Amino acid sequence: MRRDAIADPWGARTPYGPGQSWPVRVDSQLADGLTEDDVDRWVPTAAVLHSNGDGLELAVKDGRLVGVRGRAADRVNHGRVDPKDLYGWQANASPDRLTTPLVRRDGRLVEASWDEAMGLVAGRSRALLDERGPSSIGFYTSGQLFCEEYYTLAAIAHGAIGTNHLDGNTRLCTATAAAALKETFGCDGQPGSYTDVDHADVIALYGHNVAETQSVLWSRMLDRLAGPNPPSLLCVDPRDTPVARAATVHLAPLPGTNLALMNALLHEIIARDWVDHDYLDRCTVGFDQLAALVADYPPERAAEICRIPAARIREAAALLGGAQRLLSTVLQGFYQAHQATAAAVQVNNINLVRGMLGRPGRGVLQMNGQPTAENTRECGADGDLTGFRNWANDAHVTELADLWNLEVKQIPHYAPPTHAMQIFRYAENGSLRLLWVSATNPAVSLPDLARIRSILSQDRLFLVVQDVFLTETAELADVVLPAAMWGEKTGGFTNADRTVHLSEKAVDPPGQARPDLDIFLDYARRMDFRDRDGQPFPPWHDAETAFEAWKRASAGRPCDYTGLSYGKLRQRAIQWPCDAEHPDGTERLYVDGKFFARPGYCEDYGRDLVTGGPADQNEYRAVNPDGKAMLKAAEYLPPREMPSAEHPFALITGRTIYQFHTRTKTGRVPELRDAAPEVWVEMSEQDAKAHDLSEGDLAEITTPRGAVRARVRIRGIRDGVLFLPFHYGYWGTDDPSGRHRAANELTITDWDPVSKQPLFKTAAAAMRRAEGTR
Amino acid sequence: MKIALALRELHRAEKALVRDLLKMSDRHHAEPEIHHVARDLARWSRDHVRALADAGRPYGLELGAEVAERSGPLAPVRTAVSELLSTRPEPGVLLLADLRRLHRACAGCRWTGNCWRRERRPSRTTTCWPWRAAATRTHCAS
Repeated sequence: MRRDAIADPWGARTPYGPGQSWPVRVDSQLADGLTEDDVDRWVPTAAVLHSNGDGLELAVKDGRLVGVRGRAADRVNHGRVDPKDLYGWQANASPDRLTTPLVRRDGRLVEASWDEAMGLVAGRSRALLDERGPSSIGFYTSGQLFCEEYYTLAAIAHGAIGTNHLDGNTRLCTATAAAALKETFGCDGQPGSYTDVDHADVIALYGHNVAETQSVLWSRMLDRLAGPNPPSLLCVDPRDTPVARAATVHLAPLPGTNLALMNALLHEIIARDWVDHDYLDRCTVGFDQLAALVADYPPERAAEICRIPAARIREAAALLGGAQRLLSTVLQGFYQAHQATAAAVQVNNINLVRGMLGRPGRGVLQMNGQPTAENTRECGADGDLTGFRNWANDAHVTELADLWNLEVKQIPHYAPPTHAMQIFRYAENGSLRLLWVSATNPAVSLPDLARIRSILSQDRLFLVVQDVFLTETAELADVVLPAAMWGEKTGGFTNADRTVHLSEKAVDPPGQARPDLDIFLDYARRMDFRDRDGQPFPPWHDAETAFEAWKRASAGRPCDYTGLSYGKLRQRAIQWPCDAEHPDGTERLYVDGKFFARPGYCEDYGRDLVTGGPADQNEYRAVNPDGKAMLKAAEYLPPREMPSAEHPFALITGRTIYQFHTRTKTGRVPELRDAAPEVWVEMSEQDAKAHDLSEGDLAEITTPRGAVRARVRIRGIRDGVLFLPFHYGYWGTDDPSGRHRAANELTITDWDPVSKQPLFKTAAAAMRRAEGTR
Repeated sequence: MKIALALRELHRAEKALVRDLLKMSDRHHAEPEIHHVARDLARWSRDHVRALADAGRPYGLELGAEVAERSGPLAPVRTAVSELLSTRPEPGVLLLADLRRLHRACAGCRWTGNCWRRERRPSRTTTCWPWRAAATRTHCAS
């Protein structure tokens, strides 16, 4: 079905009732003047511009991409295509793709051969290893590569080099999802499934503007809402989003107060005994401590902190308490906010206390922000050890060393993995001298950009950037490596509900651009990494051999891939774990109340939710000897940067429907670029009036870090709160010296103590009409 | 008698710990995690000082309930020095020394604290004390 997806992002309704199958609706888009008869072949892949993992096919004609359509039989999207994906494939053919390596000479980036560029990278790496050791080298990767690429990068960083400094920009989007799952279940791994939407009678969305971030999943919810016996929605969001407008109860807490609200919801659920005591006794530990802590949070107290009526909190609790099939979903409104992990853990707690897990419609979805963030996590490119292994468990490290045939001492396990913000801090203090950035754009996406630019611009830091466009980050690099994009290479691709797709090569990359996997392996060969027997490491040499190696690394772990193969994935997408026992995959985890939480098996021994201090195995074993789910809780603390007389607004930043990340792809697609060409700021009618601003006026927003100018959009958002989309950097602007466009000029260098996810939703700002703009 | 003595000593140690934590926070202003977590811990310690003042009353002790929220008149100097040196690796050695000292001070408070834990609400004591040592351990490791 062809449609104007900009005007109508969610498309026509196909209503269905509880327990029924979501009807198929195939969306498609072809280049002007073409019909399906003109297409040479259709190549299967999945959606790369958000985290939903929708199954797609790319249309190829004469060796070029000419369109896309949804896969009707795909379990994720039943044929639907998100507006970004309907048009986004055009970015592959942008005239300004990087097609040759670049090296910095006399201060300028000039074209070079692969041999020259890789020679520089390998030469500097070897010199640093000799002079300063492995900790002088760090890697910052993405949530947009394929599992083979992450696994290879993890093997090189943690195995061959032995540095602890490896993370992905998943730190910005999904670190709290992983952390919250580890705190509650001892291990990462999404408990629920998207099919829970088909069965739920209550769907609670916490800081999850699914309508914009996962538009196809929202279509699924809209179709339930349009069908018989629709579910009730609870929405927690300071903005009046499409989700909020469809919700039975909408709670709009003041930014920075999520945990107080969650503690009050738990307070009410426990006080009214909407509790599944049998489930708690069988499957959990820690209920008494949880109950004692939330006893201090009656709705009236949270009402004062969050500035919402206590009656509304009680209504929300009643909705949760009365649910028969409760699906809870969480995203950036919680993950990028103050006390992120503690708040996300309370969502897990609500489902556990209510015994709502592992059955159709009864689930938790701690969501992702990026398409392959799940692969970043499971392969260990987010710093965790490969296959959800526990860095603090010597047996797990030994197992990994044996798998890689390397010495145990080669794999860093003396401390927790270094998270992204700390990697940049090490680059700032000069202990890290080579930073290799792949498929991400920290010069726009990280907080406090003036600081990030000064770090990346240092002479003493050798910056390698591997990407498909000359991003704001690539402009600061010493070596730029041109990479192949999605559609130009093959690899495994796992979404937020553990669905593994195979994304196949449809067309050749432009010029000399190469798949990220080939670049990493080329580096390994030039560095001449060897295993214990003197054989080249990593031993694999292409996507399929890398996938087979990854399968062996995942064997016996929660994310078991051993039952999968490229051949099987060509038939259909499958949810892990998939092994001999579960050849068709696993729809829901924890069905039998059994968890991956035994002390010898779990991925993590947990952290204190307030300080982030990690527990050791003895402490974990004492609390949870039998590997049950853990009910943890923490007291509410006020954010470190609160609105004040000088900076009276609470500033939140975030993602919107037509753009993805820093617009490197979506900003190069005419339909998407024109749908939202410039940065804007959302504010309430009252705040606009108080500052003499009307729709379309130019406002200046300032924090102690910087200033941004943005056009005013008057929207439903609580008074005293400003929202800025974070997509807009400086490419394509007339005046790159101004630095008044990127939302992250304003955000703070601060992060959640447990997940280390930066706080993009907690900053105090001032706002005024920009000079001379009437 | 013994309990009064222990409470007085613990109160002294806890107050000193608050000052140490605030100094630490200012001296390592360029390390966001140290700066922020040290202040979180200082806030807990201030709570403890207040609780100790309450606990001392039945024993005839008049212990001060309040501790300063700043590390003293030199606070801006400490912060400025940290910022000046933010691109140098050397403060890392100073940080390690500070963390070791802090770890010892925390351990001292925890040990003395065992003798009056019963006086406190269990939910608070069980969450605070073991984790504080863990919190400092994480920074020592990195």
